[in-house]
Amino acid sequence: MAGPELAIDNLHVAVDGTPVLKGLTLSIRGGEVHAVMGPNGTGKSTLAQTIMGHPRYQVTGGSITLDGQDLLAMKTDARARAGLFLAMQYPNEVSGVTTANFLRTALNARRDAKDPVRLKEFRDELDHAMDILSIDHGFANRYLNEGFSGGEKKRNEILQMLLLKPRIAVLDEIDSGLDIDAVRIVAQGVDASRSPELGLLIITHYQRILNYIKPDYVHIVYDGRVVKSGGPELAETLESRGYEWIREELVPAVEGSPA
Amino acid sequence: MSTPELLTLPDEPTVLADRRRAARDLYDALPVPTRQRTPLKARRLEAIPYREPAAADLDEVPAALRSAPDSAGHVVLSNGHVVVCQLSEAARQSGVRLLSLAQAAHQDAALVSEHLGSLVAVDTDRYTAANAAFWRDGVLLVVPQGIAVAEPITIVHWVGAAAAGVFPRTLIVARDDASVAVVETYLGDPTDSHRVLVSATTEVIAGPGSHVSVSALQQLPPGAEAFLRRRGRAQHDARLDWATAEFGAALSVAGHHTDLAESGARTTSYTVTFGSAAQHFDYDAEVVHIGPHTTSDMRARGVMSGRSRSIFTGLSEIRKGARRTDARQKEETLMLSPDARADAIPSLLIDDNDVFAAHAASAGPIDELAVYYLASRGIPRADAIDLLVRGFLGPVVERIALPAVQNRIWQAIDAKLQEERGRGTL
Ligand SMILES: Nc1ncnc2c1ncn2[C@@H]1O[C@H](COP(=O)(O)OP(=O)(O)OP(=O)(O)O)[C@@H](O)[C@H]1O
Ligand SMILES: [Mg+2]
Repeated sequence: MAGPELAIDNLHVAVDGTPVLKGLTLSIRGGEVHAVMGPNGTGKSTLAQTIMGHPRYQVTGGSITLDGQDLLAMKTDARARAGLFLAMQYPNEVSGVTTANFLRTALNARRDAKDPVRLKEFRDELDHAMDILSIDHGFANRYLNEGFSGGEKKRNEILQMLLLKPRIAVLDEIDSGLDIDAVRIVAQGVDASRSPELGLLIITHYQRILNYIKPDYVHIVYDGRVVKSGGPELAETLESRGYEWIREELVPAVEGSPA
Repeated sequence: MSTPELLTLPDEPTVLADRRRAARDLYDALPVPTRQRTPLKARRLEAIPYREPAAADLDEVPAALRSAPDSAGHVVLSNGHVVVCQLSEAARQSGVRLLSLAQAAHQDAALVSEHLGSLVAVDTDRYTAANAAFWRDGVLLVVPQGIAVAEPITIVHWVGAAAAGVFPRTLIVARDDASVAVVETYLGDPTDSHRVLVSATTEVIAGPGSHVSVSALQQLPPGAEAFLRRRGRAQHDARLDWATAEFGAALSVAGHHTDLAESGARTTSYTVTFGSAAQHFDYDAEVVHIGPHTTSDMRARGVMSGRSRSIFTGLSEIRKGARRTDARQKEETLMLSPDARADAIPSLLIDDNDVFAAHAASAGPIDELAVYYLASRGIPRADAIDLLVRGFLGPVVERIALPAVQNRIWQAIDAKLQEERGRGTL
């Protein structure tokens, strides 16, 4: 089977009637790592949530396909079963549902009802993934994200990714709120799952995580569009120079200069 | 008309026969009760020929319910008649008595007349009077001083297709330092929708230092109109734990009341409700702190779907002199449908200063962001709601100390969720 391909074409999205994405185009194939960077409020999470089908984001134009299939016509749960995963910037707390029970239900949703995952097999896999991410096994029996610290929630997102084995994963600021060691542990966990069968889109503000997961492409999102794409060196430039030069590049030189 | 002018049981002692007569007079005198949020008149309960005595019918009781190998004692009532009454040899040896109330009435008239009706007032309303006037049988359980019954005593109230009125009574007497768990289930064929009036009472005397736990699972058939009254009195240092679940019947006016009569008495009260279709639940949970240093913890969680309606009235009353008491209550409802309605009415009545009391109530719809989060991991909407409902009820179910009761309640929740899926409401 050919590797996965997520294609976002000229995407327009509005939140409560306000346009946020204004013609964003991006393609991710299996084996590739794309980093998306950009100032606060430019639409990065909007892109991520729209890919997943969050009910608050209205697509007003453009398309998203996974392996040529129209993703926008699919419900969120079907998108996930088709191989999409989103590690959320702000994961929800789900009271009363343990992490283990939730993950088992999510795995079983991908299997034949007559062939649920065996408990022992599941437990072993869960323990293994928890070890990779240095998560205490006790977290499996805690209610999903309830009372988790910011960093614990982020690890829990990646834990889910390791178990659900997506084909395209979007990681939205998975490094925010993590201490320096945790960034390394989580990033190495992600990096270890790199394969031709997995395409990664990493939304971040920091260079650090990209030291562990070397991106093939770096994109800068500004005002709802990808305004610049390049290789890993682009992230380094941003780290040292910030976004000001991008803004300047975008503003036509004529403006403000004497005629 | 074949309505018996006055029901008396063979060999009924005069004192009980007199009370029955008085109850009958009260029943005739009392109107259909007025409840603020439950329009009882409109239900036309009087159209049910509930005073017709229904026969016992063991054959109708599913075989699986007739025995309970994990129980210390097991009683089955069919349409209000005792048809099975078993007590383990070990319990019998230790002096535990478990018998049909009709039998107890003439074997031990003094004990029965001392306690029966001592807690649930006959004149509470027309239907408690009906229970006191028309009861045919019930259960007497006596646990002697210092005896701990390790396994639960289970009581099944089966309401069959031929019944129009069912009026069982349960009397539990735990002597000093005794300990026992009683599990009452109210059951019928879920496909039987004929109308039947069920009025049951349970009275619990928890002697000094005793620990009594009473669980009651209401899974009556869909045509049932039920009035379930439970009342207990906890004496010095006694502990009385209630776990109640309301799942069945068309109408259930139910509740439990605890008097923490003496110092050091404690009670916990956990109630789980799941309403669907046009079910109507009106539940009163009450605790009265009379003695000092008494504590109560009352929690209720309900899930409401369809056009169902629930009223949960929690009352924590602290009488003067009940100093250093601790009374807490919390009621939460999860609404699965915009057409369902739930009222949680917590109240505190405090007549002493040196106390701690707290109450809270909330109701809200399913968290759509949580559904989205679960969906983003591949879980379909119906399964996500299923998980969230279980997750919502779990914290109360898991407070119930008896694993067997927890299991029964989970099974009842499974059945309800299955029903909801069948209706396509998830
Ligand atoms: N659910 C929402 N409700 C209201 N406004 C929203 C919502 N989601 C996004 N927006 C608005 O859309 C714009 C883009 O937000 P988005 O979260 O996509 O930014 P971002 O690039 O992820 O920013 P950050 O780097 O701070 O995470 C912002 O102006 C934000 O206020
Ligand atoms: Mg964001």
